[in-house]
Amino acid sequence: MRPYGRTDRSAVVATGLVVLSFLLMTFDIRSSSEGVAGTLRSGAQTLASPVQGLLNRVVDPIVDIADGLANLAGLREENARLRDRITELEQNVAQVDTITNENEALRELLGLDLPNGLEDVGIAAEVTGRGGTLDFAFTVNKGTKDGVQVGQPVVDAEGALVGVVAEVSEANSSIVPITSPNAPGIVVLLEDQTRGLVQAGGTGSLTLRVFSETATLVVQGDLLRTYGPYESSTQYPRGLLVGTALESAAPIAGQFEVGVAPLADIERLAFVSIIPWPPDTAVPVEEDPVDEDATEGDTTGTTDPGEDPGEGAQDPDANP
Amino acid sequence: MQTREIGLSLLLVVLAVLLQTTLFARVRPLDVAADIVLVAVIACIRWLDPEPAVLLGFTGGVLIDLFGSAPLGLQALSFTLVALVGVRTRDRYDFSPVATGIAVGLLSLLGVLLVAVVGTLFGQGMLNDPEVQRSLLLVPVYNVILGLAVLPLVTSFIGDDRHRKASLL
Repeated sequence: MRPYGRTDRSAVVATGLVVLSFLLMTFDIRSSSEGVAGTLRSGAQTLASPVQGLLNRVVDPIVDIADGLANLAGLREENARLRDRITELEQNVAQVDTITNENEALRELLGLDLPNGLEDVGIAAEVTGRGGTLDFAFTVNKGTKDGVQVGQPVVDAEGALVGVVAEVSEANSSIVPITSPNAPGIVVLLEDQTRGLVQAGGTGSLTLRVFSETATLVVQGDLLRTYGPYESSTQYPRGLLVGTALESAAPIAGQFEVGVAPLADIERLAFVSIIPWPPDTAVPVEEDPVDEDATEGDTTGTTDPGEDPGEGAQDPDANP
Repeated sequence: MQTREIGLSLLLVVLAVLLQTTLFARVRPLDVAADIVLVAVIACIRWLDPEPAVLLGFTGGVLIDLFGSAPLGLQALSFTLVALVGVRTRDRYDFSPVATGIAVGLLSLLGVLLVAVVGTLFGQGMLNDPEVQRSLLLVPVYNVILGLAVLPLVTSFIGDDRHRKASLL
C-alpha cells in the first residue's frame, strides 16, 4: 500500500484532467473529428496496427474454435436460416434479369451514369480492430495510400452497406457503421418508389422514417436500398442494400416510422470493401489495374451532387 | 518516486488497450465486451500514489478514445473519475477478494454510466440506446469476472513484495 502522511492532490489533478477532457471533447466535436484529434487518432492507429494485426493472428483462430464450440447448438438454427436465405436469393436471381433491364432503362431515363461495376473498384480491407465497449466504430487496414478517403461508403462481402469512412491515415481507416449514431442518415428507395430516411438508433437496428403524402405502405421484409445522391447528400451510391423492414406500416397523416434490420452483420465482419465514391473524389492507385475502371467511372460519371436523380423520372414525393 | 510502478502500470494499460481493440472486439458474450482497460486501471491504481493513479486513468481513457469514433476525451473523463474514486476508496476494499470484486463492479458501473451520461450530454445519444443499457448491466459483471484474474496478476507484477508473495500463494 502507498505511504500515508503526504499531501493528496489527486482531486486537484483529477479536476484539471476532467476540464481537459471536456475541452478535448468540445474541440473534437467542433472539428468533426478532424484537425489535431484526427491526426492523433490516425497516428495511434498507424502505430498500433502492426501489433493489432499480430495479436489478431494469434487471437482469431482461438476465438474461432471457441465460437464454433459455443455455437454448435445454434448451428442448426443458422442452417435453417441460411436455407431460407438461399431460397430467397434464388428467387432474387430469377428477378435479376428483369431488374437489370429495368435498371438500365431507368439509368438512361435518369441520365445517371454510375461507374461500371462499383464492386470491381471496391478496396478490399481487413477489419483490424474495434472501438471501446460502447463504441461501434472499427478499424480497417487500408488508408490514403490505397485510395481511401473520408466519407466513402463501406459494404460487406454481400454488398450490404456497412458504414462510412470516418477517419483515414496513410495505412488505416476508421469506419463508422450505419448503426452508429455518428453515421450519416441514408436516403432509401421504398418499394412504392417513394423515399425514406434510415437513421441509426444505436441499437444495432435502424429506423426508417417516411414523410410523404403519396407513400402507400411498407411491408415487413421489404428490402431497402440506397436512393443514391439526393439533394446535397452524395454519401451513398444508388442501389446498395441497407436492410429489411422489421414490420409493416402505413402512413398516418403522411408519415410513419418502422424499425429496419441491417443486412450486414456488423458485429462479426472480418473483411469489407470500401467503395471509391463519389466517383469524382476517387483516387486511382496507379499500380492497381482495377482502379483504371474507377478513373473511367470518374470521367463517365455525370452525377451531380446537388441534383435530385429522381426528379422528372419518378417524381418521388417523399421529403425525408 | 514510483518510477517502476508507473512504468509497469503504463505498460499494462497499453497492453490492455491492444487487447481491448483485438481480443475483446471478438469476444463479446451477449454482444457486450468486458472493459479490460478499466479493469487494468483499477488494478494498477492500487499500487500508485494518488496523482499518478489519476493520470494513469486519464491516459488509459485517452488511449481507448483514440481507437474509437466517440469524442476524444469521453473515456478519458470517465476513467479519470473512476481512478479518483478508486484511489479514495482503495483502503476499504484491499485484501478481501469479495470486497475487491464488489469494488471492481461498482467502479466499472460508474465508468460505463459516466460514459453514457456524458456521451448523451455531448450528443452521442447513448442513454436511450438499449445496447448501452445492456452494457450498463453486463460490463460490471464481466469486469468482476475479469478482475478475478487480472488483479492477482497485476499484484504479482507490480505489487510490493508482501502482496506479491500473497498473490502467488
